[in-house]
Amino acid sequence: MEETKFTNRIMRIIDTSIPFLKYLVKRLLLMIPVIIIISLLIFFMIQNMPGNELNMFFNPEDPSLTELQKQMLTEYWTEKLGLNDPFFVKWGKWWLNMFQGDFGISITKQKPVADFVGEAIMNSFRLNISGFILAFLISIVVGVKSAVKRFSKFDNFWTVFSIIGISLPGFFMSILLVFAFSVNLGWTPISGMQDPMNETPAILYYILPVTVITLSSLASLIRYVRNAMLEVLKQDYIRTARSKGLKEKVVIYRHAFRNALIPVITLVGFYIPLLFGGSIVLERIFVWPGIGLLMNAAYTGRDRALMITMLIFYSFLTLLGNLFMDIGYALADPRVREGGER
Amino acid sequence: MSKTELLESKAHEKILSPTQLMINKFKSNKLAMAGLITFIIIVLLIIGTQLYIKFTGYPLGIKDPSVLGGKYESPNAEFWFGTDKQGRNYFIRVLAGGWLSLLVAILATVLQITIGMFVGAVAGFFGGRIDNILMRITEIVSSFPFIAIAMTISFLFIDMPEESRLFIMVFILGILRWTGLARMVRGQILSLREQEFIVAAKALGISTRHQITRHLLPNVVAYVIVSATIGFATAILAEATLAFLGLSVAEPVPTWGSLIQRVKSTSMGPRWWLWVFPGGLLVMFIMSVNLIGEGLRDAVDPKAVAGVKNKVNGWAILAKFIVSILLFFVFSVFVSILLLFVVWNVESIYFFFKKYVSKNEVNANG
Repeated sequence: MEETKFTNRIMRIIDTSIPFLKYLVKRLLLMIPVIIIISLLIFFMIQNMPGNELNMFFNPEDPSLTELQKQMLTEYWTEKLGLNDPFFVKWGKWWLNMFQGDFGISITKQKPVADFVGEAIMNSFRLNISGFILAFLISIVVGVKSAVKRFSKFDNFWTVFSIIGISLPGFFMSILLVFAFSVNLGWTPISGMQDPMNETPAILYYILPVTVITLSSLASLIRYVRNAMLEVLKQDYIRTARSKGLKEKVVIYRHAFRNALIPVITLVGFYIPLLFGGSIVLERIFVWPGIGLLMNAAYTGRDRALMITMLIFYSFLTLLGNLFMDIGYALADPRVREGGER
Repeated sequence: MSKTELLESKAHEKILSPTQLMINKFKSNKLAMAGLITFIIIVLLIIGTQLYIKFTGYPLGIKDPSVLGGKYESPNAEFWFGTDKQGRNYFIRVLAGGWLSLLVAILATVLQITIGMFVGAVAGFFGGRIDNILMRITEIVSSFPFIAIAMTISFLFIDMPEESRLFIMVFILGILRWTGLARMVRGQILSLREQEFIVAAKALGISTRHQITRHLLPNVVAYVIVSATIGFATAILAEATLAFLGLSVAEPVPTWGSLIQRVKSTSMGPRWWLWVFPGGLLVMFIMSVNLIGEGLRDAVDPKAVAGVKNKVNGWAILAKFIVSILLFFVFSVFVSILLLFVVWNVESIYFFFKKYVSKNEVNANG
């Protein structure tokens, strides 16, 4: 008797998880052509960049070089960089190299890209994770409260706040904060990540960039949480819970909030991969040595190897974010994985 | 009460069309109306300045001593927004910068809507394999990291002449940002397709093109307008961000982003007017568009709480009259300016294409 119950339960778990696994495999397989097409497009764009790639490695107008030396250098670098290969051969070689951990040599840093990219990712991640946690905590608290007290003063304040937050470009917000706290008050350093003399504590360098990240994502997150909560509060089971005579607190926190969290957690799935990519604008303003600053350096130095690595990295993060979000939806909503509407 | 009496008692009640209801709802939204008024004022200022520049031949780049002030003058009676390093009138430069943002945003939004509506409508209506392919393309485009790809495209064309960079900006913003709209239109059409009036249209033998354009798309238009408004705001923001990174139209033509870009932490305090005015206008402009978008979204959503009905009074009618005249004025000026812009720049567009074509020929020969 006990055994059949147990096997029944196992069978049920397998039955429910198989459609999900099927969906997952299908979703992963669909990613492959997307990655191929994106990498082809990126590769095509970088190949057509203005400027001659050879000139990056030696100066053909250098008077100290003889004709023969120039010719030899040209041949050497053409051979080494594979400049005469057809487009698809270059592309294939680049993928092969990438699987072996070779991302090419950066011209601006005079080092292989793989050597310094990891550190930059960590720097960006440290910055993003602090802003991300702060933004999510605040937005969940504020979003739930303003949904419960809809059209109250509290709600109106945060509605106006989020409209301002959406309208304020990140770079302008950074400039305003730098003006107020670094230039006028002198509380925080203007830019950088560490004091070279180790006199000011490192936390001060984090304050302004983290504030900008928090504020700029807070605006849309609050609305997202508020809408999710409002949607749940409209449901019949909330009315049932109320009519049972449950306390308002229990209704909101045990019945409504838990269900409203599902879309929010899905959104977290979308954000997590993006934490590893730095903001190009923000890191440029605060001279934060992360991925975004590398991207800027790649463009000012016309550094193809670095540029291509960064672009693929960013696209990969976005793809992963979409994947996580879809998985979240599938977990939360059985209709998606049954393959009805997608 | 007899039937005729009932009818008579209802006779003075106006029957409002859905559009009228939406307009009423929008008008009763104070924030949205404030946004609309701010938007109109800023647009009028920008267009007025642009007309002034065009008709007086005001030099934006050339150092003409007759219009120049001293170096870095703070705001005063003659130069309302002060002057910059070359002593140029900053008021005119800031408003001329707005013109570019406006133009890029309008053209990019038009491009976004065209692509998004076309892809969404076709995918939603035909379904099956076409839907699958189009949605796959949409997914690919939407997984491009926006700023990184925009930087790359803009960098590809960095050697292009200045006049054509405007079109490159429009192209970047249009080609990367249509996916959300396409998805929304597809979803709407998928649900509309099952409804009786489309079945009736099919049964009547109406052609596919007319089924889409006459019966399906009009039902989606309200949502498209809302998302176009939001798209317009994001286009302004994206253009400003790219200009801030130095990737938009360059000197001597100013844009808000590139004006703010020039501020350094050392000059922030003493020369505040250099970044406060363009930044403030930029934020106000984006905010007004966002407020309008919010208002429109609430007005379009039938589930949203309806606004309190306005009491009719003389002032309201007068205000309505003025607003509608202004709107009409803005609209007609918009259209004529767009036309004039094309006419004025026919030469440069022609040269752009000529240059581009001849460049290609040289490449082909060599």
